[in-house]
This record gives sequence, structure tokens and C-alpha cells, in this order.
Amino acid sequence: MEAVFTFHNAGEAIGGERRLLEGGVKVKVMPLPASLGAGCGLCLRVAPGDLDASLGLLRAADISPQGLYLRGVEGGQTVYTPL
Amino acid sequence: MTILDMTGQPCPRPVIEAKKALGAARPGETVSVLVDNDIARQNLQKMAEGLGHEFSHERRGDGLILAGIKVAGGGRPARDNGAGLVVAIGRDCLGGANEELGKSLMKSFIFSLTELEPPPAHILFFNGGVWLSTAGSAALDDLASLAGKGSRIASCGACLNYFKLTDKLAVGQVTNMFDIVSTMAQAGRLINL
Repeated sequence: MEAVFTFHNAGEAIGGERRLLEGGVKVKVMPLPASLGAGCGLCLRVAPGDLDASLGLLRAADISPQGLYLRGVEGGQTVYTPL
Repeated sequence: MTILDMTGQPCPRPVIEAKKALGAARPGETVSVLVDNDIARQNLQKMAEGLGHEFSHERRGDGLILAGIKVAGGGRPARDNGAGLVVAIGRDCLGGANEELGKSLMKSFIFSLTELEPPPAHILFFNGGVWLSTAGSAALDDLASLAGKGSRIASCGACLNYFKLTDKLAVGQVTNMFDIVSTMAQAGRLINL
């Protein structure tokens, strides 16, 4: 289970990754799943335990995520549940 | 029994000479190779098992390693380790216009490989690509996941040495250019980044 941040554009996703890494959060990049939006954007994954710290770091950097989801697997399929 | 004495020979000479000898050997025959370091033994083992031959080795009292490769029945390799998708990665950045974007895209690319079914047969790292398979890389979890699904992950030993990363390899095995070229040449499909 992971928390997934989506962003308004790739620049915010990359800037967000940079801020989270600087803040000591173990963040991973992945392509934006088609079920979460059109286009070929990037989104960020963090451990659920790092969610609050990540939100704080992003807000402090003036980056507002477009969406926030919990990524899990149900019946062998990856599902994204809005948070 | 003929023994190929490859002591003192630089990588990848033992593998090259052993492969020549295997090409001339009959099914069931054993080609023996004497080497003086464990990396050479590992490379021989990868080559032999990749071609479907039986591999064994013993460390002798003088510290040298005697490897034995028993040629697969029928005179043909039991399997082709190069079949399937091969992904060769020579840098830690995908594309060249912007390094920060490229590094994020590479992480996204490697994550996407974990979603492929079947997963790549081989993922090869060379030159700056070895930063992805060594300690501190953000791609390690995804590469470990791929290894768990059966992908063979291998990093160029000369490149690890050049970047002083040999002791920091965190996933997969050390390989050499002979193996990289051989794997790419036998690939069913090749993605070369």
C-alpha cells in the first residue's frame, strides 16, 4: 500500500520529488496511471506513514497536489482509492 | 581431459575461450577451465548455465578454481538465455534535454518495467546506468521486484569499477561486455537506452 500524489503538470511533480527528497522522505516516481488522468504525466509514491510529512513539505514549497490516492491491489488488479 | 588454463587472463578472456571450446565439444563432454578469481568463475557459470550446460567448480588447495562445464545433450544449448525482451541502460537519465526531468523519467521507466507481463528477460546496466543498480539509487525497490519476477539484472564490472561502485552493487550480478554483447545479440527484442 502506498500513497500517490498527482500534480497539475510534470514540473510540479519533479519539483515535489526534489522537495520530498530534501526533506528526507523516500519518494518514488511513476507514470500517471490512465485511470487517474489523461496525458503522460508523472506522479509520486510515498509510504502511507510519510503522508502527513509529505503534504507539509509540499505545502511549504507552495506545491499543491492535484490528487491524493491510496494505491493497493484488489483481486490481482492495482486500484487507486481517493483520499 | 583438456584443461583450459585461464589463470592471469583478463576478463572476459576466460569466457571467450571457454565458449570456443564448448562449440567444439561433443554432447556430454566436459570442458574444464582453470581460473584464479571468483568473478571469472561467476562469469563462466552465468555463461554455461545460460546456455543450458551443467556447471560445477572446486577451489583447489593452491587457491585456483577449476570449473567444469558439461555440454548439454544433443549438442545444442538446452535453452537460450537471450530470448525475450532485453533492456540495456547506459545512463541514469532518460533523454538528454533536461537532466532533472530525465532522471525522473528514468525512475518512471523502471517502475513501468515492473508492470510488464512477462517482465524483461534481462536488464543490463553499463556506463552511467550502473548508478541505478547501486546503493543510493531510487530504482532499487523496483529492480528488486523485477529480479523477484525472474528478470536477470546485470551491471558492467568495468563500469562499476570506473565509478568506484563495485562494493555498492545492490541488485543483480556483475557482468562483462562479452556477456552484454552476447545477451543483446540474442535478444528477441531489445530496448537500448
